Amino acid sequence: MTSWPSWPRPGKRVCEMSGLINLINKLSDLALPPLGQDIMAYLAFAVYVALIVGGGLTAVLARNLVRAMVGLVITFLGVAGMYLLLASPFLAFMQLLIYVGAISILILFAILLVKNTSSGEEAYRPGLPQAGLALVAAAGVAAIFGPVIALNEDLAAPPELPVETPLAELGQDLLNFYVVPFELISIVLLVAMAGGVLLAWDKRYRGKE
Amino acid sequence: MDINLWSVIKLLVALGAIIALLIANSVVMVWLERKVAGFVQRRPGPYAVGPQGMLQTIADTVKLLSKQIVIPGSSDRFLFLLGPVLCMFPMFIMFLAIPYGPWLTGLEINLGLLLILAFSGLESLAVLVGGWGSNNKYSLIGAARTVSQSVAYEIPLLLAILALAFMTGTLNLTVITEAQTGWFWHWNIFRQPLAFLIFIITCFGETNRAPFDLPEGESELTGGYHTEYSGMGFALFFMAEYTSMMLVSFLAAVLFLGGSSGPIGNGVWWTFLKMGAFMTFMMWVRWTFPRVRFDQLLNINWKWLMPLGLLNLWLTAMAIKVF
Amino acid sequence: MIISPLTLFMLAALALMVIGLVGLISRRTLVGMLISVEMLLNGAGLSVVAAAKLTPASDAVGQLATLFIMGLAAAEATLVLAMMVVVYRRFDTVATEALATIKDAQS
Repeated sequence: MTSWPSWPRPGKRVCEMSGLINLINKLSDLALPPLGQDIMAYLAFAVYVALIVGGGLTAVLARNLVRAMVGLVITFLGVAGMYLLLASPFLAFMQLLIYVGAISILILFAILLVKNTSSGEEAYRPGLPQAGLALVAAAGVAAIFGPVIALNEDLAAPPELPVETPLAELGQDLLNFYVVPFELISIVLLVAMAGGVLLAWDKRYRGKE
Repeated sequence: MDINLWSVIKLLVALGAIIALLIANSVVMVWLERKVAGFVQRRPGPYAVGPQGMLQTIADTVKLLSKQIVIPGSSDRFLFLLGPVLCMFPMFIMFLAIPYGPWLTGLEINLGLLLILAFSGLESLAVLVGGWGSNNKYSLIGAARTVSQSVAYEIPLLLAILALAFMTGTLNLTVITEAQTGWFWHWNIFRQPLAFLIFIITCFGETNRAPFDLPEGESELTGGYHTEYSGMGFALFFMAEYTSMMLVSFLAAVLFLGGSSGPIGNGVWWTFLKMGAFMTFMMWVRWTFPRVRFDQLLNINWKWLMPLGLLNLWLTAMAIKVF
Repeated sequence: MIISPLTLFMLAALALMVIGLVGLISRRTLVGMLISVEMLLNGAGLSVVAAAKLTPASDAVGQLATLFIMGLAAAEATLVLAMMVVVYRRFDTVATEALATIKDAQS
């Protein structure tokens, strides 16, 4: 697996080190049996689903908006874990970087700027018509799409496990075939930044125009 | 990343070693900082407890841990207690990805740099959650300032590291370190001096160390986001600050100063030596420069560091294309 | 019913989207609705990546699509929050019921 460096050591230590190195090499050949790997994968999936559902329910049901944000962050962590299970570590880290590191902070700042935390409109539960409508919509969507997903024979087990896409391939795709969306999204982000600054520009303190 | 028994064992052992390292680091760093502060200010520093005051940190820790944990009445208990815990949690994962020696890495991953950048975003969130959970105006303002500073200084950090990744062609920290072996003029500090300069300045901005430590300026904000924390919570925030200092020192040592290569015998000790030198440099800067005003702080970032970072990126790309 | 990894991932994405939909309809401030929209986008991204990785479809395309979704979500959140700040300054509230029946009395 790895090539161990040969260190200049006095005689007795060489024997001890080589014994340890043999043990480590034997251990590295021991892989978990496929059943063990399956159980670990399902366990990880269960943990991430628990994070997603728990965080999601907190995000939509909490009366305090900052607690809803914390629930959303937990959901983001769960989804990042799902991406790791799908052998996309790049996407998992980008999810953490973009969603948790930027968007969550942005929304928290906006909550603080609007001073709308625990005594605003959200402190009261939505009335029965609104909650009933939400549940009906949710049940409807789940009833339509749930069976479509669960009973679809096309979604049979794939022949092999997902393999991590090398980062170079993603980069080459971005620069060769998908270069137009790549450039467009940078323009979209630029426009969003400029628009955000322009919209929130407080004319009172600056005295411009 | 295939799961075999050896990698799981390695991960667990690495986690244990990292926890020990972080605790030892906090203990040593607090003492060293006070000694350096004393030396710069021409006074002895702690000298009463133990030889040269070395047991001072242990006495401080005992004091901190035995303090009553006061939770403000009208604060949000869950968020108040979540803040410090969320601050320390990403640290352990970030330290796993750093190559301490030629074959001594907790988690050998192709995207090591991206891992470190991703998890450092969690810290800013933790500060904001803790600051809001204190239900205190000063905490909130301090937390907002800290977060806007951290988020602002992430961008030149990203640009400087990106130029480095361009040059080496990978995001894998072990490969970046190995590309610097050989004589010491192979180190990245000589190949990318501008990136190193930007990296140093953003380190101070990211970790809220002086001269950019306005968010925790005691003379103005009564302590910033950790005003309401006492005892264990304060100890966790404190440890998080010194741990992030150690993390950026390790990053500087691994990315720019050659990692574990040195003139006599490549090994782990060189990484630690370089890390210690960088940390001492950070402490030296703290007691030399006055604190920067907040608008000056953000000006430095947006008007100077980001254009310099972009210029560096452009120069690197041109150099790679031409040569 | 077929229990395969793809089904499980798709059901998890569906759960995310359903929870987001519930939040979108039952929340009564703009920020709450934005939080639900972010959850919807996450669910969509997860289903795209699962479909790309676990079927013969191209891996890279799915990951790139989700990357673009993340970038667009960031841009959208920025603009929605800027608009919310403007609305708050103008009308002093961000509750959707009050905003839905804006009387332009204080212009």
